Amino acid sequence: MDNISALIAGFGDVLTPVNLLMALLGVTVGTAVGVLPGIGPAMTVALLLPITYGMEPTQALILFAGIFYGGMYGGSTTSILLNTPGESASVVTAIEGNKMAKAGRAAQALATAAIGSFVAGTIATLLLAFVMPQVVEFAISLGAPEYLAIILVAFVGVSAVLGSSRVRGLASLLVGLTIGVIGIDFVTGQQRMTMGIPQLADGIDVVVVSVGIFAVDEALWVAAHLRRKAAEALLAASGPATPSIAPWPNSSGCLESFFSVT
Amino acid sequence: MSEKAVASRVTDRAQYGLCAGLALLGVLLLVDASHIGAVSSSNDPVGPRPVPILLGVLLLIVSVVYAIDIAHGGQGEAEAGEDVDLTTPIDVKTVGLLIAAFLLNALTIERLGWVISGSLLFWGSAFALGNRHHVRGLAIGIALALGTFYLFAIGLGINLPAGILQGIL
Repeated sequence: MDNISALIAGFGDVLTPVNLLMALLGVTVGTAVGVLPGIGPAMTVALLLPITYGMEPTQALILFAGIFYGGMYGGSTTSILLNTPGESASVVTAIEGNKMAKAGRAAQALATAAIGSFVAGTIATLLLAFVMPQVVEFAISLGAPEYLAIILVAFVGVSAVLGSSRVRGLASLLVGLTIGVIGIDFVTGQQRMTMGIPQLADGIDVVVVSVGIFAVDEALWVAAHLRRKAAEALLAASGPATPSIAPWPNSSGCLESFFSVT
Repeated sequence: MSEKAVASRVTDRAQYGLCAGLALLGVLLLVDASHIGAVSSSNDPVGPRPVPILLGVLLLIVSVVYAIDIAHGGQGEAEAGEDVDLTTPIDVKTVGLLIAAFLLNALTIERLGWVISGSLLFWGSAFALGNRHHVRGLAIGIALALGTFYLFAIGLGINLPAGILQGIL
């Protein structure tokens, strides 16, 4: 019971106006960044790490938690409205939510995603707090062979499932692994793939790779196929067959949420 | 529609270039790995060599499989998006202008500083994507570059290169 009372005392310590404002700020920023395609919750936290530079640890952690949950929700927004899941976690949201949006019920889909995130997040966090000792015991029993197995499963899974072509997935996986090889080997100090260029000895930072792939590449791709005329909005709800559950008219609710994203 | 799709499948030979790139990368990895000393230590029995060799061999295999896939008419899945119209052919002029804007930024950021190179980058990108209000584009570009310069300097403590404006900003 000691642990539980300590947990509750922790909630008491954290519940100050400034900390709550931090949570609000985190969720707002996290949602704004999480909406960007390709930037998942983990990446959002990594990119916004410098914001917490001058903060207390408690506030920094609260801000991160807010950014994380905001990023999770932001990912579902693009899935629902644009059918483009920004990250793997929101693919399922795209399958169901985008159908709702096309039926003119985007507002309900967005609200369901938000409420669902909140409920599931609360349950998951509670579970995490209670089963943490067992999980820690399991985690420290894992060694290098287990980590290698997990990494292999992740790589094979990602390259086999994502996209329609397996050989292209494997090719991009190998290119990514090759980028990871560049630099000095940590254990033996051998230089790999540095071509004698001293700047490459540190390896290539993940931010450089992600900006190169997601930002520059996206800009060039959009420029190559730029839509010169207005896109067809997801306002297909003009038909009389769509039942309305929300108190506001379908199309305007959809429109609002659509423009709040764009 | 389907005839067109078949035709574009047959003619999309640019993918062989990507194949060649993959094979080249594999060879490069193998050559580089041959220069790595076969060092191993008690806590790293594998050493730094096997992984690049494995990657190089896999890259060569994948490039061959890829080439076979292309020969059978395989094609990548083009990524759709909000502003993307996949029915249009690649707009070489827009992409070229955008690449030029990016390169200009990379070349001038050290000497001229972020505020000038960034303004040119924003204005150039807007121009490439179809903006023809040059004064407004340039004004927004300067505002964005100045704003991010001070946001990074004051908010994050990161000093972007000031270049020839050193001392003024």
